[in-house]
Amino acid sequence: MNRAPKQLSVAGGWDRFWFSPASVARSAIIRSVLSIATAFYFLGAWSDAAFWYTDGGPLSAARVATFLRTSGLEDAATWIVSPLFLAKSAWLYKLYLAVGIFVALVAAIGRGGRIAPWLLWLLLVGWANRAMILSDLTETLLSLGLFASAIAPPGGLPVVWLQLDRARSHWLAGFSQRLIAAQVTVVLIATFITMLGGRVWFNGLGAYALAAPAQDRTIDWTASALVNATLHEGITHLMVLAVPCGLLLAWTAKTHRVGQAILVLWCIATALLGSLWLYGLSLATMVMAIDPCVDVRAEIRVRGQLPREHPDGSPSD
Amino acid sequence: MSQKKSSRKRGRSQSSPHAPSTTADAVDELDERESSQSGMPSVATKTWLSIWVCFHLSALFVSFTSVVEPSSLQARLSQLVHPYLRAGHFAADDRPVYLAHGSESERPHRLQVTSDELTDPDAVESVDWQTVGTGGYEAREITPGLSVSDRAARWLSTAATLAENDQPGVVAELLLPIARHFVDAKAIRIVRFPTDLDDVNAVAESPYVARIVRANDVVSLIRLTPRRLSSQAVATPNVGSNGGSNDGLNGGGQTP
Repeated sequence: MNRAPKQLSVAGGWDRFWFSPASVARSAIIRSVLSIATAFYFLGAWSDAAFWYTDGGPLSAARVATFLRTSGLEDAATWIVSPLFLAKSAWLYKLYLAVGIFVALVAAIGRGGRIAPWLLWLLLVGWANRAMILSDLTETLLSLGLFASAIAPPGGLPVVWLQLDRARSHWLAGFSQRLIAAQVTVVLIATFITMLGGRVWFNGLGAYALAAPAQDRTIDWTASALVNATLHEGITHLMVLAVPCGLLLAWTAKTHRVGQAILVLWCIATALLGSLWLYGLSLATMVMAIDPCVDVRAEIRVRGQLPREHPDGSPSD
Repeated sequence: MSQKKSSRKRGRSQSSPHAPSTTADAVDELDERESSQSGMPSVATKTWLSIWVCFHLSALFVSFTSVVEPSSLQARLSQLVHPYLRAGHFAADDRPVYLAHGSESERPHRLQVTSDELTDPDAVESVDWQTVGTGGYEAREITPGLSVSDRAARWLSTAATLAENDQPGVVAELLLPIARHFVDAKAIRIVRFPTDLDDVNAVAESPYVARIVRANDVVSLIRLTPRRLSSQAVATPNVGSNGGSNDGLNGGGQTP
């Protein structure tokens, strides 16, 4: 029985979205920025690693085991795997961080082939799983971003700067960018939905709530113009609207740069108000992977021809 | 287009032992050949990757949206996908995906110890407390809002939430290393400071206060719980000093 034309085009659309080749250089830039963010993350964990995790510390392996047993969370923690649960001394933790920073820098400059990006992801997951209750959304975003960007073929900043291999395209680069874009879209949709679960994002206090714990913020906005009701209410409403509008515009071919700009501004506002520096940087980087257009030139380079059922899409830059 | 397809079919069927019987089969066969020739993924690879992508994105959505009062169905779905998400540190767990809701757990917390004897929960504010360092035992200059202070904030916020959910044993497990380090400390508390979102009369609260008891190198934390409102009569030692509480009975007890 022949497949109906509509089914063929849906399957074709899915194939084209996920498996079209894309520029390796672009995915390399995204991976480089995420790797640099991860290097900063490991650097930030250096000074208090010995306090938290070594023998006798508040989150030593023995104390974590007792904590999980006492709170009845042993089953929940079954899949939280990390080699650092076997480490007891401070120098091992510092060595782990040093290796993490080194691998992050190697991955950022595009060296290390396929091994460096995957190793970096594993190192991050190992540290974040060990951190447990100390970890927050930054680790989750970095893990999602590094995992997706490790799928792309190797390449890095020096290659891009020297204008070599700009024409190199691969379907894995396309798949990697689409995965990053899809993940960040899911995260932002979930952020929007869960924001609406709190009254502060309706009554205009959301932006102020983010800045309110001033003792825990790098910048004290509560002593600034943010106390003005019109200003913080306006920022709150804009922050709520920016997420769905930005996503809609970013996934539309003609307005995708505008949508990306809105989402990046949202990330900057969140980072400034809530001192969520690495969270904002990771999210903004992943937003740059959103691109509704298929790279027609990349398709021709790889396939030697346009694929069947090619839509009238505008080429990406 | 159909002429091209049929000519392609004629050309390929001369070398292929099995001629495709339908248009869909022809399309699939063409896909496979193009894939192998151009480095594109095979149909099988695309199928498996597509299934994984659907599962992965669905699992992320379930996890990230279940941070605010999930339904029992959502909680069950979360449990199903958590082994996959937690292994790769993809799960949102209880992290604030929503950025801020203005709840008590988002207020600044600090850990304090005192070398004064403390047995009365009502006398918490009358002793001299010393703030423990952020990300370390001793106080040192830490830039707020960076990762060091963020980790301490999350740790204390978790401990305070556990204390308010009547899990003092779990909180004690978290705070024991601090109590052991400060050998002269006789009591320890988590203090929560108000923010501009709170009432102007709001003061710092102590969701967890405990006496530190040391015996033979064993350190224990005994929580001091505030007295609850009660209708039970409480006998007072000296009726006259109460300025007119007539019959020696104080109804209502003390406020926490």
